[in-house]
Amino acid sequence: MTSLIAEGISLNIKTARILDDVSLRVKSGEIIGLIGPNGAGKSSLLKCILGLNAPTSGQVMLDGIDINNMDLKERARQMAYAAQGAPAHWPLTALSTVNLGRVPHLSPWQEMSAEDKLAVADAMELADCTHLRGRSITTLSGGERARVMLARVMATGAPFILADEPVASLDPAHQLQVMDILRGHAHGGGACLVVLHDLSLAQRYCDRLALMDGGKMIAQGATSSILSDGYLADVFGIKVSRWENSGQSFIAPHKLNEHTKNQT
Amino acid sequence: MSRYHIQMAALSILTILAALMSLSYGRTDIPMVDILGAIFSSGDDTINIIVRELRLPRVILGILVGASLGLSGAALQGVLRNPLADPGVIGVTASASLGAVLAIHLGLASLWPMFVPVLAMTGAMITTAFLLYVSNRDTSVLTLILIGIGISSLAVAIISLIMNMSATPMSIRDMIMWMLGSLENRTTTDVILALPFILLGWVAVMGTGQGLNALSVGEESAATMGINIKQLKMRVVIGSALSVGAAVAVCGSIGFVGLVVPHMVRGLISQEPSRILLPSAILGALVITLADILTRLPTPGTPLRLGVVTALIGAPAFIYIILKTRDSMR
Repeated sequence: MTSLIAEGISLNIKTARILDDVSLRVKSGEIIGLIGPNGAGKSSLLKCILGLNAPTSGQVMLDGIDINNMDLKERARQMAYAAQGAPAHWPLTALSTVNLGRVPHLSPWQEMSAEDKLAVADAMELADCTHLRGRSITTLSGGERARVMLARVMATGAPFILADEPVASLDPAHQLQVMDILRGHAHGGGACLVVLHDLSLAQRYCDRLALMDGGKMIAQGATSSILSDGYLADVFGIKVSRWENSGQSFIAPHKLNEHTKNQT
Repeated sequence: MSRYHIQMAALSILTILAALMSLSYGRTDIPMVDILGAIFSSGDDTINIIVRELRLPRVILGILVGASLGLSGAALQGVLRNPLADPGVIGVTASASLGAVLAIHLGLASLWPMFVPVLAMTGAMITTAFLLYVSNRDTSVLTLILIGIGISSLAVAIISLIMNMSATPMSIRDMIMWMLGSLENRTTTDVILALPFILLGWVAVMGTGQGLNALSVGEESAATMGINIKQLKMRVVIGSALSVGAAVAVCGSIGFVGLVVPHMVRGLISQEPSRILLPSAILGALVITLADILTRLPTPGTPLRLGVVTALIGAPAFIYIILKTRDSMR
């Protein structure tokens, strides 16, 4: 069993404490939702785990090895990152963009092998963007581009996928599709750590949730225990309606003070 | 053979043809058939001497300089993710020019002509070292470009100051002519002086294609693909400083080639940063070789300078390319 462990991560930027002694463990086979209000430190934690930010203290271990002691490309073959917003600086074709997923497997001068090309084709099929292969990414819609970027991440074949708000710009059908892909990856033996704002999606798709606020890890555990009325009121300042439909649970948020006002 | 390889072969053949044309054209026209004989024979009749000692160094230098400008323009645009980047933007060209102007002003050039290239390369090196220092502390691309613009302005200001203070009109003329850029009267010594730095620069830049591709989706994503961003930036900046510094040192400043050639390649060959490097080098060599032939067209008075020709053709071409590609660059 492979594992990704962040242990006691603190991050100071100038005098601001961005992360305060945060620990998190991701095991293969599970999809973990990282939730919390804006500014909670979710993206910063993701970047520390990926090695993009150097934590002020604490360490990140991948299969028992400190990520700072790993070869960069080896690390990239283990962890792939779907960034928020998915920038694209040149009008590359969707295919060239997904090809970038194979960079961790290739030396600087190496051409892509048949195996690499197959991984790219499979990932594009999975993310439903094969038909976009010849299009320039700068001409794609936000949702199409997000799927191309997800295909790039899937093409790496990395067991650990870290995604920062992967459904932010997607229509409802593609939101479900992306979550299905990520869950399928986790349940197929990989693992996902996903920053989410949609609590319904978090509840339906994640095996566990980690709740952050103000740079601290507030709680981790089963989705039902994290999405309790108490945590949602304390951390998000919301109240929720809950209902069940064909065995699936749904929640929808309301403002907390609307109700408190009514009661007083 | 892929489409890309065929395109590279075609560009190379065109460059060789242009070089042969350049060797044969001049005050004495030498038939192309005699050129190869002159290069490879050891006889010393007039034709052999003209070809081997006057025209060959000039053509070789043109190819080296053009390739350096094209290659470093392509690599800098890739690493800065800015289609307006070129060796001029990061301040290398201007600081190399400052070095050369200083050599002329202080009279060092008349003591030993090689002081001009030596000081020019020193200028490029100091700027590069400073840029590296800055980019290691602050990795933002915008900072690098703004610092480059600042360095350029400062170098130009000091050059103007030197011209302002300069006692003799003759030395002002020397400085201006040098800054206009030329391949005239270059010898094998110039080639030998510039060659090692140019080759070192090429080696540094050529292997960066994969990293530049990865950078297309942003620095953070590229880093999570296993690309060492700091090392990538250092390679491109040092490589450009070495090759362009050496080129400016022996030929003066030649503008727009580094800016325009990569755009032409994007239109003709590929948008992928790794597939722009080699074609930009070859096309840069071709463009400089052709521009150098143009400088030898008979003109009244002083012959045309190479930097003037490239700017006259390059600037309008650049505007045209921007207008044509602005939709896809957004």
